Amino acid sequence: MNGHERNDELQREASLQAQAEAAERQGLPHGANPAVDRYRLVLRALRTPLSIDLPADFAARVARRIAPPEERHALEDGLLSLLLLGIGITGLFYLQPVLATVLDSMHVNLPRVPWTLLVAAAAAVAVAWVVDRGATHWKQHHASHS
Amino acid sequence: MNPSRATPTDDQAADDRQLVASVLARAPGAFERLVTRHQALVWHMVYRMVQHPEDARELSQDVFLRVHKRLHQFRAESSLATWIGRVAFSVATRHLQRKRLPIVEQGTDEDEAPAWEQVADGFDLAAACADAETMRLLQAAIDKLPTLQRTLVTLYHLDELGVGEIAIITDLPEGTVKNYLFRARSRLRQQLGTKLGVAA
Repeated sequence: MNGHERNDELQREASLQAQAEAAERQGLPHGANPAVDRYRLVLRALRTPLSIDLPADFAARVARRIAPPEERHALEDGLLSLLLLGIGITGLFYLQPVLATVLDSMHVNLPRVPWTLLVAAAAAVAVAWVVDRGATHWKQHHASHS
Repeated sequence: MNPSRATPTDDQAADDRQLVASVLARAPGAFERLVTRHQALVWHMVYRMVQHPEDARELSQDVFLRVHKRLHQFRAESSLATWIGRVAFSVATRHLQRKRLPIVEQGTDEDEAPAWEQVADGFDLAAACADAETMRLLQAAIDKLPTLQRTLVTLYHLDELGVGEIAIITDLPEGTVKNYLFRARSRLRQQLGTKLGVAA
């Protein structure tokens, strides 16, 4: 096939493709030209949605990943603070006799620690914090879905 | 469908600007709206480029994380969809490069014009559309197109982007985009003929 024939063939195919696109766009009846109809079938296949899709909650998942650091880490930070507070109180509880002995030997009088009051105060702070975080989180969640 | 323009209409530009401003102002739910609006385009492009569902999901997330990070750079010179499409194309291209997979197959049929066989009469479009096997074969043929052709026909026919927008996304001249689209459709038509046993 020479260059001229090849060019004619290319032009013919381009014309068939253009006719097929126009026919599909205008919803013209088929059957008049099998060559155009073949391209119409190709175009329909190309417009067919993919068989695999993103998960339904994809957008929500991505949005959660870009949540501001202060919001994202607030829960972890709070839990860490509670853990450290607990470790501190427990450590103080167990170290108090040793500390008292040491300080006693140094002739320093350690005031009596009101353990019940201390634990109750820590528990109250923890509950208040959890309630506050829960309320804030609920408000943000509600706002983002309204 | 598929307007050749590459610049957004006034309404579209205003809508894009409003959404971008909301995201930048950290309005509740704004980024999720942006993702919802553009996830189909990103998914189609990335999945058709990498052809691996898990990788494509990961990369689609990366695209939107990158979009969020760079959204302040959006100047509304093109539509937001086109801008996001550029990010998606860049992310998927880099992934293919890391895996040493070619975007453009050099020296193969990318450079060659297809040879068309003569089409016999009697083709029934309605019957062919209804035939699940024919459509499955065509989908398989689309999957086997060279990466760039596959991506371009997806953007043009499935996402209904214009040639101008596709040229911006892929950083190719419009003429090249048109040429690849032509070749891809020709190749599919040729393979359809082969599958259906058309007489040469």
